[in-house]
Amino acid sequence: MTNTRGGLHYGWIVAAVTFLTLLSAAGFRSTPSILIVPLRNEFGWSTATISLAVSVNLMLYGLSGPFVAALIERFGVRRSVSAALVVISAGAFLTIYMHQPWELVVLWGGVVGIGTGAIAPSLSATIATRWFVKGRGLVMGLLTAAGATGQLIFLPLLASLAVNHGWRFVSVTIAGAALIAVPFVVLFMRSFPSEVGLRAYGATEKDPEVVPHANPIAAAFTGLTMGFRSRNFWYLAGSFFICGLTTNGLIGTHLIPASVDHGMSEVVAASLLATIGVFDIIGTTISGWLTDRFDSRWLLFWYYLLRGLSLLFLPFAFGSPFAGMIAFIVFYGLDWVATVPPTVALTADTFGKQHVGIVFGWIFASHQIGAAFAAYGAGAVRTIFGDYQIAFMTGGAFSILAAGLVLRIAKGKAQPIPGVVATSAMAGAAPAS
Amino acid sequence: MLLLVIVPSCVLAHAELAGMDPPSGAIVARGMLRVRLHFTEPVVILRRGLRITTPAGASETATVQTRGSDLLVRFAANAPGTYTLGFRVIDDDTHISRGIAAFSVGRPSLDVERIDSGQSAFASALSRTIDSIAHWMHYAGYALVFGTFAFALLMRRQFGGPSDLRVLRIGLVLMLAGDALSVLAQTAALDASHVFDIDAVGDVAASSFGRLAGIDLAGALLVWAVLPLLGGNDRAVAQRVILIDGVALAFVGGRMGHAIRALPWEASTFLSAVHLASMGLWLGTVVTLALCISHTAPEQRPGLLAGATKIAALSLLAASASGAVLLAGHLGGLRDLIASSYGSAVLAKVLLVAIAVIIGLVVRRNNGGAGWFAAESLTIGAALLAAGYALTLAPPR
Repeated sequence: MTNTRGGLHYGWIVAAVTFLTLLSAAGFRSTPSILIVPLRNEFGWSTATISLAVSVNLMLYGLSGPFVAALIERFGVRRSVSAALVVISAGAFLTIYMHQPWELVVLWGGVVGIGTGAIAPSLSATIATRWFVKGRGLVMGLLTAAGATGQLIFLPLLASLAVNHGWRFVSVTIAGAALIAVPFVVLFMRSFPSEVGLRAYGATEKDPEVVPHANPIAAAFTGLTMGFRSRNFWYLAGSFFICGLTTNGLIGTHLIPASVDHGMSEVVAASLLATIGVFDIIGTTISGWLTDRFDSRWLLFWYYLLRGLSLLFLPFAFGSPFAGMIAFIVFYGLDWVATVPPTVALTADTFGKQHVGIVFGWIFASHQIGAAFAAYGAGAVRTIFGDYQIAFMTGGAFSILAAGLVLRIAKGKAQPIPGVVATSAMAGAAPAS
Repeated sequence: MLLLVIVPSCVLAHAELAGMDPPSGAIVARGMLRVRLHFTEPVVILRRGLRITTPAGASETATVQTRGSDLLVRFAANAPGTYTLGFRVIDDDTHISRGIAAFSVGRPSLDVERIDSGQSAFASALSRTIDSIAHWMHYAGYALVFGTFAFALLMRRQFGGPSDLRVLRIGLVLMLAGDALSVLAQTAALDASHVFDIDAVGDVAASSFGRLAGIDLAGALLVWAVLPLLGGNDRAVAQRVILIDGVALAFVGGRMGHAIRALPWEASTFLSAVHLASMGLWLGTVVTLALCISHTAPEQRPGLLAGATKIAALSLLAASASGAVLLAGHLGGLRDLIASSYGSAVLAKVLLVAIAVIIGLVVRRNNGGAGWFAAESLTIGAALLAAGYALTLAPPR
């Protein structure tokens, strides 16, 4: 077995295909925020009804992680990801025939939610861990950035399609994009370097191929039990619940309809949301650098505090000149995913590097439960009160609460937990926007 | 947080209806009716803030436009009889104004003079009572959190002992409860029979009041957030955060107070903020003395009392100076102190402050104990209640 074959290590081809897949997945997941206004206009469904589908989507995306890891172990990366893309394509395409709200919940919430969940949370960590020893952090960072980049590319494009050609074109585009990705995955994706007669990039004979030793589902539940016994887990899960609530659930889902409520066009609003993605990349990169140098609790405190202030400012920004919205986009965007590196670091500090993947998988699940909660809650607020202000102010207050929770995390050594087998399947799973 | 408070806009005292065209009670021609309501300051109509009722008692749809201090309402008045127009508006310093007008096509079918007068009076009395208590809780909470903390900083005394934290937690609870109660006061101002109505709460929360109350709530939560650090190595950062938070919340309080029409809104907000912060520091100083004087070693008492006297005197001076300017801006003359409800409430506050000062002078001259400081604290607390009541009343000017 060799380290390279030819000029380019095959790991980079796998990473490129994964990047493209994650890029598309980010587009699929950001679509519901574009559909709220057109669906409301065409069918007369309330924002709360449409938000329920988004909520189910976000929840399934988060909770499927441990089970998807098992699926990948059983069937391999290529078959799992291909199947997920076909499921997304079918779910998105069938929405063009829907007439009832429950159909939206089943198709966009259930089918597309499971499909995207099968791709995003664990794939980047799986590929980075199996294919790279050298440059693993770089690959992980690039794959995490795929989420923000996908948002940047797809949001304005899909919003423009929705405005100019109707929301059904958006669904068809998503279905087509998912199908186009399938041949690339089938042709180039491989589960392990050994399948192409290679070792992982940068690996020596001393670095054995990463093969999980335990049933991932059993390991996931053992990790959950381990987390339940630790107060730090509750603080981390609680603060990450609020992280999901204030990012994917609130802003990711409702910024576009809220901006439309205040007289902005849907395409401009989608572009603003996409711009958050640009600052997200900058913020996440800087956050990774800061995490190596400063106390992660303090970093999280400042991130949540600034996020809270940004959300409290948003209702003022809607009523102010355009500069107000720009200020919001910059400050809010900078810490969209910036919370991930210090949260992962604190998880590792508390539970040990060998358990960080499993435990962070559950902390990430709480992130998505928070996102689902806010996606539906903010929609219900808009339906009942006719305005999003209460949702944004509540989100701001919750962020400050999260700032308090992270300061209560005790810095301690990792405790070995008997009976827990390490798996890296979920390591570094990031709630890409 | 401070930036959130100083986003530009115009604030004045309570918005009042200054005129209406056509005037309430007018006989109008059949067809599309255009009504212009002119207020004493810019207003925003609340969600569900406009209600047109036809002579048959049904609701009529209307279009409404807000142009600064004017509200332009259009609706179809095609049936003979009296149409009523109910409105609920809020100004930027969060005071709600409501009213009702009537216009008749042909012969009036309702007694225009009697419409809603009883309900309005009850709503304003209930709202004023709840609002006074809410303001008091907020002011007292602010003093217990930020006043005690600022006093410790000025005296270079370590803050974070059990009694300090107990007082601070009580203050936080008062602030949070005051915020919740002030929402009820606003809903009562809308409709006394629907204080707990979810729609009314939504109307209030979606207004300018909701924005400022949200910042206030976040400010209180921020103090809770940094509490664990006060006893550790990161104390200095926590102190800075609390100090900045206290200044920001003083400005939020200032923004929600009565502004002076003759001054720019920034100056008015600044004066109110200084007044609130200095009253808070005064009460915080006296409360700390009441709690710690008996535990202080005899040789340290003179130093503590001397420092506290200086801080109390300076804060009282700042409170008096800012209060005097605010009062001069709100009263048409000294006669308004007696002639207006607002003036009477302020007069009561001034008298209570004077009593507190006398108690303070006596207790310091006689090296009094904790009981006297507690009495001084309670008197200042009573002055804050009078201040809270005054804030619910429209000043003469």
